[in-house]
Amino acid sequence: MHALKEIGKYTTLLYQALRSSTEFSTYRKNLFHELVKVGYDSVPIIILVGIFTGSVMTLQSAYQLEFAFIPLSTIGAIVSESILIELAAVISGLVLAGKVGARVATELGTMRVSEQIDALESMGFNSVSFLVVPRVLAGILMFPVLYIVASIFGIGGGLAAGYFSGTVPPADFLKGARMFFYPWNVVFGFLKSFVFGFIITSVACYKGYYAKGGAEGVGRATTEATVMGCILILLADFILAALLL
Amino acid sequence: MKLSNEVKVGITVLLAVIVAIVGFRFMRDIPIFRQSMEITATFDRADGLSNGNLVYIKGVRVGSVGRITLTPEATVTINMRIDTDVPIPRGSVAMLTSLGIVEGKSIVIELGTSSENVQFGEEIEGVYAETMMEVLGSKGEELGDDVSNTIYELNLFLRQLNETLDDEARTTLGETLNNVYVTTGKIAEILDEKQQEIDNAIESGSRMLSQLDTLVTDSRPQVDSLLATIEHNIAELEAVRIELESATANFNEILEKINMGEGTIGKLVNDPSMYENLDSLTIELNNLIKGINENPGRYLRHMSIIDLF
Amino acid sequence: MIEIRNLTKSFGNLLVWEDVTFNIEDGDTIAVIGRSGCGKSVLLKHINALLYPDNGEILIDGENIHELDYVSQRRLRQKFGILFQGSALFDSINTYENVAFPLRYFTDLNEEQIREKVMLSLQYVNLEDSAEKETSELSGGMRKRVGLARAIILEPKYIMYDEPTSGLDPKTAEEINELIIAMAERLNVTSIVITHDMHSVLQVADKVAFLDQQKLSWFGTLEEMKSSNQPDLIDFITASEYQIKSKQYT
Repeated sequence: MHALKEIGKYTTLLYQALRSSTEFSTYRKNLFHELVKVGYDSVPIIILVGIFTGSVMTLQSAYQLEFAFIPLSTIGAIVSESILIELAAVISGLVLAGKVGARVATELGTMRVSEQIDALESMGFNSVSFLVVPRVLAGILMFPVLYIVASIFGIGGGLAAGYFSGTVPPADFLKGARMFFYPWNVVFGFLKSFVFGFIITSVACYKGYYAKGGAEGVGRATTEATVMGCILILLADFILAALLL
Repeated sequence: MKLSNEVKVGITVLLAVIVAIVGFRFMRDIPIFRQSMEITATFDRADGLSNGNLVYIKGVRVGSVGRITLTPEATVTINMRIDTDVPIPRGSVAMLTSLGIVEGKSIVIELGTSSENVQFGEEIEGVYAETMMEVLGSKGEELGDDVSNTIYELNLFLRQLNETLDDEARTTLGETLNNVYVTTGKIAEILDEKQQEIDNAIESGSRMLSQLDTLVTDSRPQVDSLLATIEHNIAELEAVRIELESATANFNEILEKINMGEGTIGKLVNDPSMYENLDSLTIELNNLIKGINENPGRYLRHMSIIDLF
Repeated sequence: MIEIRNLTKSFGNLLVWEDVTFNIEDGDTIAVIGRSGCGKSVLLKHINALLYPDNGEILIDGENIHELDYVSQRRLRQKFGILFQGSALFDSINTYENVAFPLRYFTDLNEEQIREKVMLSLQYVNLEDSAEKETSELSGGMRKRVGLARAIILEPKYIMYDEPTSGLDPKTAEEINELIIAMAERLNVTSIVITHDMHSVLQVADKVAFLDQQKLSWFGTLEEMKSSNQPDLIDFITASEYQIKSKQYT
């Protein structure tokens, strides 16, 4: 019953956001602010995540396949495929659920409990269009960009790790990566990042927007936004895989 | 320098788009800054071929497979992106084949000899070459039956063996197995030591196989046409042989008749007087010709060339 | 003029108040008093359509704010300036931008005109020196005054004060009360003051609405209140007066 109510409130908020997404002039400035906060500011951590994911994948695959009669190029194929189809989107999604989701939930939660949202409304602002729409849009627009960054640095990191550890020569790595490069995987990963961006920002907005109960309530909203974001990402990952693969 | 939010967003998005396009083309083997050549080929079927498989000319990778579409005539049209400076003559043939046992399908273009070259978007002939794996596959079922029979017999044998083995024999067997185990261990050690060499050997072996394969695929059309010609020749020879046979039979019959003295030639052969007449006739003819030679006017006075015919 | 008719609201099973009816005439300063938790702020949020009643209606200059579509509702909301209990300043921008905020979105003024209006507004609340301060640097009283400067920037017809003096020292509370009177006089606005501070009520109010026991317990002018003999009202006032006296002695 409680869950149903939550879903209902969440959907209503999304509907309001959709309805007020036409009031571009209200949130134009906020949108760019959010695009920077979600996208531009997340690039360093995403680069870091990408590099480490790729290099760990390479080293571990090389270790696991050491004694089998398997061409080294297979490692390149495994690493680049896993990154493009799964890791670039999901790992950055989980990291960003912490970084972006927590920030959004805290911001909106604080604004809610300190009556800033009421203040906006009382001034005649559409607070959903002013606060929620730019954040969700920023998530939808910037996550695919971050997916590209994560993919490039993931594959690059894998290539570099193979080279520096002496396990996989770059030529073999690239050969494998290219041989098993299917454009559909990229489309799929792209789609995932799109969905994750929506999930993380919309859930965080929902939790923050309806936060109540002072500082503790904000803390609870932040925790719930992060946890729910992560769970829903994994769930969405599964559903997308089941539907589209 | 302080960047405005709009500029930051612009930089991020623009870089990501550029990186994505370059990366995509790089991974797809499409030349990054150049428009590549595109040709199509139609095949009866395209089992195992997928978007992104490679295209070879004489064993050198020159491009990749693009869109694969099923035509209304239930054939398969394949777009290929080719990136090479080598012109592809009209009449070239695209063969859908597999370069090795484990590797996926690829397309091998056999260059034709025409002086005209294929233009962008043109179609060349496609040939679906059945590969070793597919042949094996079709044989698989028979093989399966054989195997299960064999296994059944093996089972029977093992059961009998088990019955005949007494305890003592088992102990001995155990010792033997132990020895085998030790030996295996040693072999493993040796293998470990020789790992590199074995790897090399396997690698050169597989390289050789793939070369062999390429070689075979390369010369395939010639061999095919040669075989066809030979077959045709053989068929003709067969006809000739049959004719010869009947001719020989007839000939034999004739000879028989001749021997029996039947017919003109038989009589000729069997009656010496005829020969003698002929002989004297010949002598006279000789004389006559001699006479004509010595004095042609005497015989040919009233003869004109026309009368003669 | 704001007409409140038969207003009833409950949260779940908890009844806040029922059948609340009174009018707020233009130019009046009305104090809504009552104990903490009696639903004073809830009433304020109803007037602004931040909350919806279970029953009854609120007419603002003849328009039922709860039945309007969202766009007209927002237009009607701009007749109000609200000073929130916690001031509700946007903490991501500084004092000047907080006051300028509504102007930037709801008017076509250029930067110079905006500056003029913002400085005038800050002048009303005696804060023209603090324009460039970050909101985190402001004291509680200053925050209230910035909130007030922001509330009046769009020249509202009504100003609602939610507990304007709570959490302030007596001197600052005094200043705020003076500001409320000054606003009413200088800007010719109708004020609705939500408070439990009787000292403040006695200073600023023309009329008083007393919310008690889940209903509008008493409504009348300040003079009538002083001479009223309704027990619960007298209780409330004497409790406050005791406070006022103790304030004076300490």
